[in-house]
This record gives sequence, C-alpha cells and structure tokens, in this order.
Amino acid sequence: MDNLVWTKQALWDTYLDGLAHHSEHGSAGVVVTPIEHGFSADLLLPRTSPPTLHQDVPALGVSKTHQGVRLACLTPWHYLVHANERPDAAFFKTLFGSDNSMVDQTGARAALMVSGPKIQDCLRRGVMIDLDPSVFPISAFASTYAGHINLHITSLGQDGFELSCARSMVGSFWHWLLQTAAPFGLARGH
Amino acid sequence: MTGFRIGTPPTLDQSKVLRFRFDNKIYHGFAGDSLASALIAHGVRLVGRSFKYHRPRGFLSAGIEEPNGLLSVGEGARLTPNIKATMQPLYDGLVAQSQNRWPSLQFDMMGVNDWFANLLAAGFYYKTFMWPASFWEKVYEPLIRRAAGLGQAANLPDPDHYAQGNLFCDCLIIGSGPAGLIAALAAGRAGLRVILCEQDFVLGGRLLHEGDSFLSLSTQDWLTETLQELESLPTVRIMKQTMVFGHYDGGTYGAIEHNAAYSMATSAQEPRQIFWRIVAKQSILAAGAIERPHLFPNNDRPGIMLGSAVRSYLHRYGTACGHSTLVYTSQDDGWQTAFDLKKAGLAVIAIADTRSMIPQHLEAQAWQYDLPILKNACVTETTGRLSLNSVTITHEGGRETFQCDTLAVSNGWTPTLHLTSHQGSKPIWDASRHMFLPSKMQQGLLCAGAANGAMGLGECLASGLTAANRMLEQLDKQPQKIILPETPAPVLQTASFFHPTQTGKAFVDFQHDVTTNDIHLAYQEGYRSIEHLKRYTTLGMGTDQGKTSNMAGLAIMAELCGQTPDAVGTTVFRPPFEPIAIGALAGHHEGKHFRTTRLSAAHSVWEKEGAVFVEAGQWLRPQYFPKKGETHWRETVDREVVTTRQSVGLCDVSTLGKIEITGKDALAFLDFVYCNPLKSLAVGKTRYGLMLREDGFVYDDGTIARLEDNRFVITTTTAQAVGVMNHLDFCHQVHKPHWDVRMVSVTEQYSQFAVAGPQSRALLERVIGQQIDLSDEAFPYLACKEFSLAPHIKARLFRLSFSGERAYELAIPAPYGEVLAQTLITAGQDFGLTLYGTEALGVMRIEKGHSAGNELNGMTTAGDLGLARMVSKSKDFIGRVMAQRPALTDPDRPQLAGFRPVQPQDQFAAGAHVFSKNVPHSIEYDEGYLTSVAFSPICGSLIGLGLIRNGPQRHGEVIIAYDSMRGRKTELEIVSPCFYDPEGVRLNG
Repeated sequence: MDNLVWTKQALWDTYLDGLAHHSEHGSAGVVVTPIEHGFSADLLLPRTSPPTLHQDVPALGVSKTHQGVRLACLTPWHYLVHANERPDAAFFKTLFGSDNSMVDQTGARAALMVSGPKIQDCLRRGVMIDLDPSVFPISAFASTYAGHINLHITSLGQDGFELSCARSMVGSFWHWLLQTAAPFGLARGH
Repeated sequence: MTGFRIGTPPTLDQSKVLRFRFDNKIYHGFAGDSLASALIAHGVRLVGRSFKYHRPRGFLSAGIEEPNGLLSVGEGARLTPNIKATMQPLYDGLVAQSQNRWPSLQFDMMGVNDWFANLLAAGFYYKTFMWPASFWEKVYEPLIRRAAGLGQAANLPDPDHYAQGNLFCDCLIIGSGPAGLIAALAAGRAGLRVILCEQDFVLGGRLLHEGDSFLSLSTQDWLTETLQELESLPTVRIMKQTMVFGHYDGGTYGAIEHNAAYSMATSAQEPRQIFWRIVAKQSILAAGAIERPHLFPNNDRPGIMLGSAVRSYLHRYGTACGHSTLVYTSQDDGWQTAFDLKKAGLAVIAIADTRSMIPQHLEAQAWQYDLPILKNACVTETTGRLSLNSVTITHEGGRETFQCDTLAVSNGWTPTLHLTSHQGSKPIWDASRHMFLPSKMQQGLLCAGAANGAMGLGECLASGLTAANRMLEQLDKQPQKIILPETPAPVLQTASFFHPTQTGKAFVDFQHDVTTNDIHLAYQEGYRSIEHLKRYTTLGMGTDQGKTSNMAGLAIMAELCGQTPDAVGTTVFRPPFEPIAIGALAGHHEGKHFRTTRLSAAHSVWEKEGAVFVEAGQWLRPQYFPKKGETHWRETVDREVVTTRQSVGLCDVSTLGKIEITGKDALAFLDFVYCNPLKSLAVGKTRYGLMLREDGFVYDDGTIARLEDNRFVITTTTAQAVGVMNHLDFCHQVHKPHWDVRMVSVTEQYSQFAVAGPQSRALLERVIGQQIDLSDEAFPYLACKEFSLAPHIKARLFRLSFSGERAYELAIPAPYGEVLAQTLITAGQDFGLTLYGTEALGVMRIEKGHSAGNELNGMTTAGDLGLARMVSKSKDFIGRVMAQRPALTDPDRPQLAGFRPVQPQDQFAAGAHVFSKNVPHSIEYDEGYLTSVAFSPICGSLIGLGLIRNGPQRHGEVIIAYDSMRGRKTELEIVSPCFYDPEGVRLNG
C-alpha cells in the first residue's frame, strides 16, 4: 500500500496521560520519564569458545557506554545493546570478535527512567535486589523482578534508574509502579 | 480520668485525648495507650469469652502473648477479628467489639458449656459424635464450629491495600529492648547497615515496663539518649510496629510492618501493612522473654494477670490493674511486682511464694514495705464470676482466704526463641534457669538478652554488646567498646512451679481452654509425645500459638511420664510467629492484578473491534468478535469460521512462543530436541516439529523456520513458551554443552498475524505485495522469508496453516503491530475479511484434525496422536529411548480418532468417556475419552477428536460417548480425525 505510514506505537502514553508533570507537581517523590531506544538487541556469543573481549566490554552485572552504545552484561555470553541507531558490524567485531550473533529486540522491551528523592524507598517496595549505592553503584546492571515481572535495571547514579520490562507486560508493570509510587507522589518527567 | 489511672509516664501523652468505643460504650484514652491499657484504666476487667467453655476472661498480659483479650477492631469491611488488644495502639475513633458471646459479654448463653465441661474434654468430638456417620459433616461439625471459635471475619472485600518490599542490611536486630538497643548502637557506630525491628509501637522493650532500673541515671534518660543516637546514625533504619515472623534460608526473614502513616480515614494511597523480605548478613535475636502463669483451679478469672503485665500497665501506662493485689510467685521477679505496686501507693495484700527458701534481701525489702510473706504457698481456689473476688492459699501457716481484685502471678520466663527454631534448630533445656534456651545458633543468627536467658538488666545489656561484637568480628569489623550503665547487683533467681492439679479447672492454654485434666487424659490415652499432645488437646494451637502455655503443658507431661522437660522437648516452631494478614502477602496483586497480564501489541485494535477476550496463560487473547445482531457466541464463531473458509480471516498469533536459535551447531541441536528429522530442512523453508520429553511423552509442537544457514526461528505453543525455552537451555547446558548453540526468545519482539483463507494471498499482496513475491512458485506452502517491509522495518513471512486453508503468518517488530493490524483490517474490507479469535481457531483445527493442548496433555505419545511416522528411526533425540518402553508402544493404547454424532443434532462434550455399544459404562470397559469437541458449521454438527483404543482401525464403528457429569449418552461414529479437505487441496491453494 503506497500511502501507508508505519507509525510506532507510543507505548507509555496511555499510562502516563493524566500524570502531572514534575514541574507542576511540586512534591513528587518519584518522577518517571519514558525512554525510547532507537535500537536494542541481544548479542550472543559462543559458550564453547568464548572470544577475547575488548576492555570496554562490561563485566557481569555492569553496564558501560562505548561510542554512544550502551552494553550490559547479562551473562558472559549474553549482552544487551542499546543505542540511538544500529551500530555497524565493525563496532561489534572490535568489541566481541567476529563470531557474534545479533538479535534485534528494539521492540521487545519498554523502558522508563525513574528518579526523585524517594526513588530508593519506592523501588525497595518491590525490586528484589539491594539498590543501595554501596552495593548497586552507578552503571550497575541487573536482571531481576519487581511485582513478579522481570525487570532490567540500570543505575544512572544521581539520575535514578532505568527500568525496562517486556513489552507485553507494560500494563501490569505500570499498575505495580503506580501503586508503589503513589504514597511518595508520582510525576512525569520531561 | 479514672481511679485506675495513677501516673503520668513519659510514654503517654495526656494532652491528646482519644475517644473509642468498646461494645458500644464510649471511653477515652491517651495517645500512647494500647487498647488494653485504656480499657484497664476504666476498670474494664471482662473483655472476652473463652473458646470452648465461654468462661469470662480478662487480660492476662500486656504484650504479644495475650491469649484472652482478642477483640474485633474496626467496622464494616475494615472489621478485623482476633486483634490482641494489648498490641493495638489506641487511635481516635477506634471501634472494638468483644467476640464469641451471645447475647452479651456479661451474659453469654453459651456459658452453659462450662456446666458440661466433663463432656467436652480433649478430643470429645472424636468420641461423642460417632453415629450416625453422615451427621458429622452436616450436623455435628457445623454445630461445634458455631459454638466454639473466635471472631468473625467481615466477609466483605478488603477496602485497603497492602505492599511488599525487600530490605537488605549487614545486621538485622529483632527487638528494641536493652539487649537489642545496645547491639544496634554497637553495630551502628561501627558503620554497619542496621535494621532494628520492634513489634511494639514504642521502642524500648522491657525498659518501658519497669521502674527506674539503672543506678546513676533514669531509664527514660538512657533510652532517650540511646534512641537519639541511633536515629542520628545514617546507616540505621528503625522500624516500629514491625513483626519479624519468620526466619528462612540464607539470612532471609519475613516481617510485617503495620504502616504508621496509614489511618482508617485516609488510606487511599498508604498501604495498611507492608510485607518485607529482609536479607541480612548477620542477625541478632533480642526478642525478650514471656512470663509464665501458674496452674491452679480457676486460674482464668478476670483479674488474674501476669506479674510482669501488672508492672507494665503501672509503669508504661500509669494504670493500676486493681485496687488490691495479691502476688503469687515462684521466682524473685514476682517480688518486684509487689514492691513497685507499694511504691506507687497501691494496696498489696501479701506475697505468696511457692518456695520455702527466699533470698534474704527480698524478705528484708518486703518487711520495709510491711508486706505479709506466705512461704511454701499454693493457690487452691479462687472466686468471682466476672471479676476476681478472693484467693485461697495453703502455706506454711495454714490455709487462708484473701479478698482481692487482682492476683499477679509469676512463674518463671520462657525466652522468645521461636525464630531460632525456624531453620530446624531445637531448643535445649537449662535446668538451672528452668527454661528452654536456643541451641547452637545457625549461621548468621545470634541470640541476646532475655531471649538467650539473660534475665537481669545488667546481664541483658552485656549479652547484647557481646552478641554485637561477635557479629562485628564475623563481618571483619572492629569490636565496639561501650560503657554500659550501672545496674543493681543481684541477679534474679528464676524458677517455675508446675503442679499438675486435677482438682477443678486449671487452665494451661487459656485461648483453647486446655486444662491440666486434658493433659492427664492425653497421657492416659497414650498421646504422650509433645506433638501428639498438641494435636489431641489443641494445646498451643490458638492465635497465640501457646506462648504462655506450651511450657506448662510439656512440664506436666514430663512429670506424668517421669521425664525431664528436656526429654519431652518442645513442639516444632514454624513461621509465622504471629498471625499475619493474607492481604499483606498478596500486596498489590489482587483482583485482576493477581498475576501479570500480557497484552499483544495490537490489543487496542482488538478492543476497538469489540473482541471478547479470554485468558491464555498470562495472555489476554481475542476469543471471538461479536457483530451487531449476533445473539450467541456460537453464531459469531460460525460466521468467523465460514468467512475464513470462504474468503479471508485474520487472527493474532503473537502469543505463540518464538525463539531465535543461531550458532554453528544450531541445526544439529534442533535435530536433537525434535523427534522428527530436520537435517534436510532447507534455507527458506519451514517444517512442523514435535518435541518429546525425556520420558518419551509428547511435550510440545510448533514450527521450525530456517532463515539462514545457521539461523532459525522456532515457534512453541502459547502455554509452553517459557517451558520450552527452559527445556532447550537445559538440553544445551546438560546434554550438548560442547555445541555452539545460542538462543534467545523473540516472542516480545514480534507481532505475528495469521491471514487465512482463499483470499489471503490477495489481501497480503495488497499490503506487502511490493516487497515480496507471493506467487505459489516463489512462495509455496511451508516457505519462509525475511524481508524489508519498509526501509527500517524487517518483517518475516511464513506460509503456514493451522486452519487447512491457504494461509500465511506475517511477523513484524512489535512497535508496528498495531498499525499492521489496522492496515490488514482496512485492506481486508474489500475481501470481506473477518477477524477471528481462539474459538474459531479451535473449530478450524478440529475440523482439520490437528492436535493441540487438549491432545498434547502430557499423557500422549507421538503414536497416540497418529504421528508415529514422523518420529525418526535413524537419529538420536530427546525422548527416543524412553518412547520405546513397552507401555508406550502398546498397540492397545488409545489413539487419535475423529467422532461425529450418528444423529447430527445430538449433543456431546469433551471429557466424555467412550464405550463399545452394549457394555456397562464402568472403568473396566472404558476405551478412551473425547479430548476436543466443537460445532463445525462446515459439517453441520458437533464434531470431536478423542483417544480411543485402536482408533485408526475402527473408522465406521458406532460407539457410546458417556458424559457422567451431564448424565448423557450419545451414539457417535468413529471417523478419520480430518473432517475437512483431507487431500489438502485448499492448503496449497
């Protein structure tokens, strides 16, 4: 069809509509801001003969940004990739060697940045891991659970955390976050 | 305010007056009062009726061990039964009701049970209600349950909400008494992340309940100073009203926090309770000890209280429990009760001690207060129906009766060590202190203070500091030197006196009305093990879990058996330590949020189109799409089936599991996990695959598409998507770890739509025709291809069919799923497109004889499903060996067949069992069962699939489907399972 416009679904709008903006809220303890990665993927390596990795490849439980591409280590043979646009193959060859498998997952997960003065108090009412900065410092990454929903969580330091869940579970995840953050005051960031 | 309020302790804010109601009468209390203390301050003695005999009961204690003072608190949907009034903080507007009485607390008709107590001894219902047997469930049990019991639940939806959370710390300290506070201080000063949990709404533990206990400073000053320092330490988290109820593996504890910010009036956002999972590297249990009552006839009258409770009400709440008190003790601590009451100017009739030898300093102090001393004393009777009137005591000087309204009993202490036992550790008996103590501590759990048998204040503080320093050493931290406040020198002698009297009713378990006679009876009838004793008599089975009764029960049994308490032992303590609300365990997960719901990317489109949804695992899938004028779901489904078969239908199949598999050994791996041969699968082709479990039964089915040489995408059923992913990972890691196989789920990444029907190609050509050649030559049945739908959108097309019609499955990145669904609907209008849901999907697959979840039920083999020819004879695969077991290859196994009614209008349903004609419908003649039944608009009748012995050889035979649920028998003809287009002409277009 010639006139077809392929518009991406605005995943968070349904849920965030009606939420006051942070600047209007005044006393929000928790601020949520939708994040859209232009490109996300799973990068898989052979378990049988693991390649020699570049020094910029993050260790287990760590997220690192290299040339604008954020990499997080889920297991030693499984990395998550986020970038504004798809990096070229040479980029991954430098970091992981030529024997890597890239599986596009750009639409698979939905991400939010959560921040605010009460964000630690809010997240500990559900997230299964210790998010104290002494244990989960900036750039720490984990795949864990909150409200029985698998969650990827990355510490952004002062800026809070990036949370992402499976796309199909966004409704349930939002319900959990809304209920959990409500006592602290919830607002939408910019 | 009243004659019972005699002081102004610092824990009570007398400037804040709180109104509350108890049994419809209005009372007043102060901020800082418990519901119990506020009632006692008004002279309320009668607060409940006992469980079985409906005897009048008053408060026994001032804490969590309270067995009698259970009240229903709140109103309407917020009514909560069985609240311990001793633990309930008073708030303005509180409404409380007594329980288990009719018509009133003062005059309870069921009190007649007490007259027939001899007929209601332990286990009476096992013996008395034997005949007729059918009456047990219909008459006897309902009557007994109605007569006995505690409060009634609101039976309305809970209007409040609850939360759950996780906390992590270096050190968890349970209890904020002297030992807990000093341990928290040491750990906090050392910079550890400390969590201090206190079940009470005020911190301080036993310090709040005693008079000044230090030599050089007041208790309150030390407490204030200590709490101020703890609150100033940034790594210390103090949690009041938080009950640590369970100890689990790996330093994990369960705790319920009663949210202080919650109030009945403004609870819209605040959770009422929070269920915390606390993970601690080390923990210190400093939960104190519980005083034990004495056993003597009628020891349950309102006014008979624990001595420690009498002191608690006096010091913490400034309340006298009565006007004239007699103290009955077996240990030094009881004497302190008498001294404190005298100091407060209250009347003490005498001190009666079961011992003949009393420490001199106690006698000297008693003389100072002019207190009569009764040695070798034993209470033999009490009087007073709704409140204590008199106590009769035999002692060295003879037998005397004393008029008094309060009897303070003190019979030794039981350390609160339950949490130490949750991981299997058994307490050990300390004969010198007459108490069970924690045995060898588990990894990471230390015990301190009275919970560890340190009963004096000085001993308690030292114990707390020692435990903290041991913990610091284990965490490689420097031990702390803290100068402890000076305490009086004498260490209290603790003892106990359990006389297994059989005269009159001496209550061991106040809440469950278990008497010493019941324990004698259990002994006589052979229930002598402590676990049998518990179950036969219900000793310790109430909401208090025997906190005041277990020790007495086992001591009596030990004496009867001629054993020591150590030999008898305790029952096993299990979590929770205290009753907890189920709501708190559920947290936010209630109603439709009970579990996670998954929605496909096009969900909003289906909603707009009026879909009726059905749960499929966690997914919500369109079940059918009713149109205006359709009055029955069958009418809708028939239309969807017919339209799809005649023109084109669209169905969302995004929920199927999709797994991308790559790596040099990907093909070999797939050939290993599926039972049919796959090695010949060419790039650009798709094949049906059948997966067996290791035991040889069918696990799942799906399709395998080869996108590139070493890149595959497989589909699984919706229900088994997660299971298959786990199974593949297991097979890789355990069976073929040396193979290069990489796999990841792409279920979330792709929206996938089935476009089925004779017009499916025409529709797709209109939407994607410019991007891909859909001619049968270029894209035949079972072809697959990855292609660019737009410059930045890679899509996948598979020519697969579940319906038996020409069909395609189009996969697209999920963000574009919504727009693709809408586009297909719009473009399909010219072809008369119908949307169809899981119902029509099911009808069409039954018409085609395809097995699905009803047939892949974990009990069928490939042969049962008519797929034996698919199973490779030449390769190794998961389940190969076990599938050859004789039982799985038995030719008599039920096999898949089709069924149609002899009379087209006849009804039958899945689940019906099948029998040959003219045989009884019993299990000996059972030949199989129907797995799937649907109305086929194509066949014009119900049709079914089922498993029947020798099914493929019996086509044409008429059998009986017997539906015992509905009492229906239907004559069915056995036919081929494929009812529609058996030659597959339509499939290939």
